[in-house]
Order: sequence, then structure tokens, then C-alpha cells
Amino acid sequence: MLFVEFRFFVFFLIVFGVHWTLRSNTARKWWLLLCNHVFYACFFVGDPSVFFDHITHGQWAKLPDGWWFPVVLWGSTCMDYAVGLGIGRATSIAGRRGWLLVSLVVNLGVLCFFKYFNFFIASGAGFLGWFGLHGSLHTLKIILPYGISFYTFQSMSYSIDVYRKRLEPVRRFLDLAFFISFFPQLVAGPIVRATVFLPQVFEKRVWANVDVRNAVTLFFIGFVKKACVSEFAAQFSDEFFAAPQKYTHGAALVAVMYYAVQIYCDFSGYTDMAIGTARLLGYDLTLNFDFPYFSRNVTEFWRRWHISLSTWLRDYLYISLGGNRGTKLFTYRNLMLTMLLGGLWHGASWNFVIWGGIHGLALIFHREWVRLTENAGAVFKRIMVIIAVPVTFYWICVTWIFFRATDTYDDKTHLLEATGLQNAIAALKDFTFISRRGKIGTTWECVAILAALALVHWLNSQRILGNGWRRLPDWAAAALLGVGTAVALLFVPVHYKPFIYFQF
Amino acid sequence: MTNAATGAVTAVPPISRQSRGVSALLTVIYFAAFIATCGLLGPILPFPQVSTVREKMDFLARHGDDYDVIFIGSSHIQYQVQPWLFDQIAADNGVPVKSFNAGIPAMTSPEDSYVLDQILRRPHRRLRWVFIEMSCLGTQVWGENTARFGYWHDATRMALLWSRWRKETKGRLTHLAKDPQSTFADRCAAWSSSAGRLSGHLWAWLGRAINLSRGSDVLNRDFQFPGWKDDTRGSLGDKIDGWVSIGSKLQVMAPGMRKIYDHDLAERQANPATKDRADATCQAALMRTIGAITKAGAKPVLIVPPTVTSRNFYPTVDEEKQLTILDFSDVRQNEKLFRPENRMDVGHVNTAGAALFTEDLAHRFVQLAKGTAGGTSPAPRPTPTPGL
Repeated sequence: MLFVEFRFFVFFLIVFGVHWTLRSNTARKWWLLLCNHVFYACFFVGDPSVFFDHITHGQWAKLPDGWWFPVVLWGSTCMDYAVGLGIGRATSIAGRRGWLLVSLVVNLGVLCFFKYFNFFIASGAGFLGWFGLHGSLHTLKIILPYGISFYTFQSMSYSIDVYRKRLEPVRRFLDLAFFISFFPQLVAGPIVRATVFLPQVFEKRVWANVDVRNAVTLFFIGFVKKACVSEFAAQFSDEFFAAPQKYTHGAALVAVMYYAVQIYCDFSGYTDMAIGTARLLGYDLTLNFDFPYFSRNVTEFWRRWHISLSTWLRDYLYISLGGNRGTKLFTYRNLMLTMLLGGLWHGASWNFVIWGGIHGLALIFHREWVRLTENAGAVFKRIMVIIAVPVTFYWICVTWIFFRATDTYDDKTHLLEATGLQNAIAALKDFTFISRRGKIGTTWECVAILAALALVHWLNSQRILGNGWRRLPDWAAAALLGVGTAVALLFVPVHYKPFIYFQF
Repeated sequence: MTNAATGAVTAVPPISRQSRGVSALLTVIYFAAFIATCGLLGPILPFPQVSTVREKMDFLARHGDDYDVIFIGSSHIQYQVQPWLFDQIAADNGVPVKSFNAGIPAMTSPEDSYVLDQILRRPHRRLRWVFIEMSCLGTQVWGENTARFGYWHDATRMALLWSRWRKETKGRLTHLAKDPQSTFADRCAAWSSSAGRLSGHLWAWLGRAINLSRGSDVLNRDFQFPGWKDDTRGSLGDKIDGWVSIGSKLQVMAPGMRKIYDHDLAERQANPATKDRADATCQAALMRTIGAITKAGAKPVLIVPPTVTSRNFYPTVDEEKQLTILDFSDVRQNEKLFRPENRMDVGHVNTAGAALFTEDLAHRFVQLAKGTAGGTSPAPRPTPTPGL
């Protein structure tokens, strides 16, 4: 069930109505826990009547793929609940460490098995092949449970924070289960920390504290980003990345920028809708994007892009590795490791590792650049201020080429064609003006729409649109939202592409 | 709210607390603005991007004044009536006309009446004849969530569908209630199936009312890299007259189809197809279509295509006497059209069959034109009457 589907609106209307009708906080949490699982089930159940028919007749083989997804979710939750209690009761540091180790090994083990097992096997076989050692390749038919990368990190954050004594262990299982499975952020984040969410779970939500206008506006903006902008931008990037050698430099520039628009609007749109939905239920989620394409350098970009993941990696991985508490080389090693693993988090594919790697290199380069230009003149610094944002954006677009470099299925042979990286290199050559092979150019209309989107984004980043919106009286805001909804529905596609971050 | 662990800050704006009455009023304002905007946008948007339909509508909007004859119907018309041949035969027989094939694959009632209404929205200076394939108003749902299924669901078509659906459902449930062998589960299944069909149409109507995806049509068509533009020639045919060949692969019946065809043909030779008068709603829908053609100053000619089905929809006995009906379904009278070498399947002729069908149609038209209009159809009408 996608946030942009009509059935989600019906689902949410029921969730919302019952949630605020219930008086007791515990009853509300039980209700939302149930709804979380209904929401989650919608991704794999298919036709509910057929699903339950198979269950009642014990026809397990006929159940749709992924019927066991909740088992993994509950397993992770139960384990971290036990770990939390274990850490709380442990009297020695060794005991606390032991419990934490259980959480890390189990969570990362489950994640590695589902997400990386086949990748490691295939990569290992490929590696041996270089040395002329050809062994038989035993891969498993594994399907990745929805949201596993997100909820595993959330539950690990709970165990680590309890270990670090930032959080008291949760006494009631309901509270932890509700936190980990909270449906707005279950399948694609933001990765909410236990320290942020659990205090809200303990306290009864009050309707009077809900800023409905703000929440609805946020949801609407997210809807427009995903349903209108991202889907529109996708047609350019999809066509281009399918055969980049056919296009000119201009078309490559426009298409890759459209991909940058697509991925930003897809993911930040989802996050906006998740935050808006949660706020309507009285809960606040973590901010996940802060106009990342207006960053002046790659370090700033990572403070503004997928904030919940980048801060998670910083706090739980980079700092745990030693952070910058050592030599320069030691710091750069930590930085590189963090980015490589961050890249791998996005998917079991070498293109994500390369993507993480070049971001790691860029972060190291930026640190050195800052050090080397510390004493540069005022003119140089002024020039840098002017070109910083476009240069950073251009670099980010270069990295997106690798991010987008997924292999494609051949419809005729039903085989996976390893064309992803080949296409990425062809796209990179076009985008960086290294070679020109194609003839299909771009049009002014395509450029004009891109410019219009950039202008709206800039106005929003300067808070110009937001301030104007806040000054409007409620009746005018309601009327404008009504007009906006009607206009937005004009541009929604008949069939949606899945959210890009669902696959992670 | 400041997040100590992450340093990220979620903006918590000032909260405006409203009474339930104000909240309800704001909700009403929201929906009023939404409905008003949808209503205003609908008429100014271009015709939806429905494959073949859009190209033919656009073409007729630009060149409608050039045509005296328009053919409307399903694949029985689109693939089987060749306007260039029709015009040639008519001209050779002293009735010079120019015709256009506005047939769309799988287009039956009430979609055909919507397409006709769209064509007749603007006056056509020379239009004198509209040939329309007769089909009974159907409530079946196919191709849900597609632009093709949704675009024709306006209020007029919904009223017709509602009336037909009510009668169908009532009839089916009454029949089951009287059947002693039917169970409660049978009745539930019948009701569920009927409700499913109605909801399918209601969704389509709602989607059309809120102009769902209509702007994407424009963007997808007009804002693309060069070289991605669709070639519309495929929808209008090589001669730009609306006739499209079924393609070389379908010129010969497949062995499996041949078996079915031979069986059905033998049945029709033994027992000719019967006339299905259906119910009052189907008749009303047909009369509405005929009324629209007449109001536009053209003469309606109803076609029963050469198929081997057992029943063909027909107007009431009284109406049948007054209407012009060209029936090609009699397998003995139209023997050439039913020869296997001229067929594609049970419902369609191949390209050779299409030429034969067009010839027959043209000859019958010539008789009709000479008999009713004295053989002069191309003369412009003095006062064109706008359609619906």
C-alpha cells in the first residue's frame, strides 16, 4: 500500500478516526500496532480472501512470497526487547557488552543473510574466477523483507542507546513493538532513533497539540513530489539510462539532472508524507532532508541528504570505528569504511559500493581542500562561494549515475543483463563531455521545466513560499489546498513506479 | 523539537487550535474548492490520450468538414471498412462521397455514443451519413484503471449504465430467488459480481470527474526528448482514412480458430442468427444515438457486421421498420464474406474479406443514396446543426 494510493487514504481515515476516538494511550498503541501490521501485510498478502483461504486450508505452499515477512520483524523486535532488558539487568560491563553483541550479531546477521548472501556468493565466485578457479555457484532464492534495512537499524539503535545508557530499557513489549513497526516509517524510513520516538510513545498524544494544517500541507507536498514531479522526471531518466549512447551531451546533462530530481522527489516525498501522517496521529518523526542540492560541498550534502541514515552511520559506525580521534590516515580510513558500508546498505550490488566509495573519496578530498585553501585570498573565496553550489550539484549528479546503474532484465530471455555499469560508464562519458556518440538532443521545454522546478525549490529553501503560506488565513489555505489537490491529480500517473527506497 | 541524539531538528510551528465547527467549515471549503477546480479544468483540457481514439478525434476535429460519411463501431468497422475503396465504388456508381473510418477496436455501446457525441460536438459542413455498428449497451468492466476505460464515463453514459445495471442485477437476483436450487452463496456471489461491475464504472466516473492523469497526458506528449514522439500514422492508416490493416500475421486463421469457426459457421447455416431486442435501456441508448445523428442533420445507417454469433442486437420491431439497417450476418446471403479464406476469426474478416465487405457496403449505400437522396450526397447542407 503506497501513500499515494487511494486505498491508503481510506485506510488512514479509519486509523485516524479510531485512534483519536480511543481514550487510553495503551488502547491507542494496541490499535496502531494492529494497523501497522495491516499496512505491512498489504505489501505481500495480495487478495486477502485468497490469502486467508490458503491459511485455513493449510495450503502453505500456495501462500504468496513474503508471507513470513512479519516473522522477521517480530523476531528482531523480540530479540532487541530481550537484549534491552538483559543490558539493563547486567551488572558488569562484560555482561552489557555480551548482550549488545547478541543484538549486533543477530540484527546484522539477518540483514546480511537476506540482503547480501547471494551478492557475496556471486562476488566470491567472480573473484575466484579471476584466478582461474571456477567453482559451482550455489545461490539461494531469497526475497528481501520490506523495510528490513530500516527497522533493523532502528532496533539496533535501541540496543546501542540502552548500552550507552542514553535510554532506559523498555519494560512493556508493546512500546518497543509499536516503535519498531510504526507504519509511516516502517518500510522506507526515516530511521527514527529510539531516543526520539520512545519518549513520545510513553506520553499520551493530545489532539489539541496536533497542527493539522501543517501536517496536511506536508503530506500534500510529499504527494506532489512523488506522484507528480518524480513520476514525470522518471520518463526522461529511464529513457536515457536504457541507452545512454544514443544521446548528446545536452540530453545527458538534462536526463541525469532529471534523475537527481526523480530520486530526491521520490524519497523526500515519501518522507514528507510519512512525517505528515505521523503528525496527524500525534507523533513527530526525524527530519530527513534539508534542501541537499543547495549544499556548498559534499560534506554539507551528507548533512542534508537522508539525514536519519547519515547521522545513524556517523553515530553508530563512524564514531564506533574511532571517528576522527586519531591520525589523519586513521580518520580517512574510518570515513571511507563508513561510506562504503553506507553504499552497501543501499543494496547488494557493486554500483552501490562504487557510489559509496566515490562519496568517501569526495569527503576526503573536501577535507584536504579545506585544509589547503584555508589561507587563500578573498577573491578566491568569493569565486568559491559562487561556484560551490553548482559544482557540488554537478558532482552529486555524477555519483547518481553509479547509483542508477542497475542491471536490467531481458524480456525475451528472462535473464539479468549485466548492462548497469556499462551504461553508467557510457552515461558518465556523455555527462562529463568526454565522448559524444548519440544524436538525440534535448528540447527547450525540458530545460524550462527543470529550471522551473529549480526555481520552486530555491524559493522554498529561502522560506519564501513557506512564509507566504503561513501568513494565509485558514480558510484561504483550505481553499488553496483544494485547488492544489485538483491540479495535482491532473499530473498523477495511472500506474505508479514503486518508491525507489523500497528496494533498500 | 530538537533531537539530541541526531542533532536534527523537526520544525514545530505554532499550533492553531480550532473548534469542531471551524474544522468542519474548513473541510467544506477544501472540498468546495476541489470540486469547483475539477469542474473548471475538465472542459478546458484536451481530449484524453487514448490510443487510436485521440488520433481519430483530433483528425476529425481538424478535417471533419471534408467528409460526407463517417463509420463508427468496433474492430468490425476499423479493420473491415476501407474508406478509399468505398469512395471509389460509390463515385463509380454516381454517388461521389468522401468517407472516414472512425472505428475503434473493442468500442461498443455506450462508448460509441460518447465518441459520436464528441465528433458531433462541432458541426460538420458535409456530413450526411453516419454508419454505426449496432451493439447492446454493456455494463461489463474491462481494462480497469486505463485511460481507455475511463474517458467515456460522463454523466450521460453513467445514467445509461446505472439503469442497465439496476435491471440486470434485479433480473439476476430475482431469477436466483425463484430457483429452488440456488443457495445463499450463489446469491451473494451474484450480488458481489454485480457490485464489482458497478464499482468499476463508478471509479472510472470518479477518475474522469477529477481529471485524473489528464495533465500527464499533455506533459508526456508535448515535453519529451526529440525522437520520442509517437507516430500517429498507425492509428489513421496508410491512406489517412482511418482504416488499419490487421497485419500480415492474422490473414490466415490459426488451426484452432478454424475448428471453432467451422463449427459456428455450420450452426449459423442450420440456424440463422436471431434478433436480440434486449431491454428498454439498450433500446433507449440506441435511440439516443440515432437521435444525436439525426439532430446533426445526418442519416443514421445501422450495420450488423458479418459474424457467426447466434444473436445480433436489433431495435424494437416498430423502430426496425423505420430505420435503415444493413445486416451482413446472414451466412447464406453473404456467402463470400464467410468463406474461410476471407476470415481472420469468428468475428472478423481479413484484408481480402475487408475489401469484399467494403464493396458490398458501398453497393448497398449507392442504392440507399439513390433511393433516398436522389444520388446527391455531397451537396452542402444550408444550415449545419450543432450536435449534442
